[in-house]
Amino acid sequence: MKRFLVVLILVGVVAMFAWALSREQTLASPLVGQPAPAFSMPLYAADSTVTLEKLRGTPVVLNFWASWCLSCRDEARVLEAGWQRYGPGVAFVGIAVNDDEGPAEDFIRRYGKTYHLGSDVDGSVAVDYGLYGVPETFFIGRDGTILSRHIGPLTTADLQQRIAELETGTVGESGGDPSRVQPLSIEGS
Amino acid sequence: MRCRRIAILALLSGVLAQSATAQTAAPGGEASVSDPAPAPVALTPEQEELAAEIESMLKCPVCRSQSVRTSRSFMAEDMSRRIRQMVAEGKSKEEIREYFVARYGDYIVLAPRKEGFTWTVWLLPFALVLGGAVTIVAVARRWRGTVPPPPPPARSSADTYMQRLEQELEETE
Repeated sequence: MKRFLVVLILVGVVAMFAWALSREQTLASPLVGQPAPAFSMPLYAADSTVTLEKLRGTPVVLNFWASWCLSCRDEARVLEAGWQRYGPGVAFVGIAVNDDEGPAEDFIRRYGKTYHLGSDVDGSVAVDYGLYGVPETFFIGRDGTILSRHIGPLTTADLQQRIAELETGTVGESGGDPSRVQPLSIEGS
Repeated sequence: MRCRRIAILALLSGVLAQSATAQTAAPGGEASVSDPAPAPVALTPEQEELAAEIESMLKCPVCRSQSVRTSRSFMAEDMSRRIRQMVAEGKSKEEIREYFVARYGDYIVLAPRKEGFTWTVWLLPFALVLGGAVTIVAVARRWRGTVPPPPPPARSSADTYMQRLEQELEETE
């Protein structure tokens, strides 16, 4: 009996460590269900800014991307098609992270993007949203609450499902493919 | 002559300052996508110390076991800038810690806080070492207690002969 108890404790400890090591830290976000952090971002298309405050009352698809991110190319047309289909009832906002102006504008032109696209010039929006890498997308309800977060490239089916959740205002499960996120780990200056 | 030189220098520095402002600010004074990376936040020596302490306390989320202070990644640079801004605003260590935990979870802190379930992380290694020592002592004691007595020396054939002789002598007496 005593030996069985010792084995049981050891198995429990090993299982706990295995669970902690295998857990996908990047998937869960404590921000889901919380008010979305406010932001004000300069846009590429015009000498103007977009703020979350201005979009209050409209569901928002907030996508973080970069021109150097390969997975962002996979979802670029999905997002534009989504904007064409659901906008302006659903606002689409793309925030370029750690990107230079020239390559970012080339990316916008190449994929024919027409929704709000701006730059996180000082990296503060990325930190405010607890970003790990790109692409990551936050779905923000009409009242400004983050309803879900998707990491990795969005497919059309993902987008449809998330927008359905946005329209009903339900907090969804965070999801996506962490292996397709390109972390912001490239060395800075 | 000297006054004229000073006036020209002042004019030149004014023009240079104006062009620098034009490069960093968009029309209307708003931020622009072409703005250069923001300059580092200036701190007092005490604030520098606090910022360094907080940077060492927080994990770089995109690195393997590196703090914000030791990492050179973009993410760590952005986090460092935010930490310095918050320190300059007079935020406390606890407030800045809470800000990052609210965005990344407890995972962002290199050393988990000593409360609730996270106590197990601190206590488990000591408990395991103690348990191991107790087990070793118990096993060693058991081994000592179960050492079999040395076997009696095997009787030689001479012993057997002598024993039989003694027995027969007793019988004849």
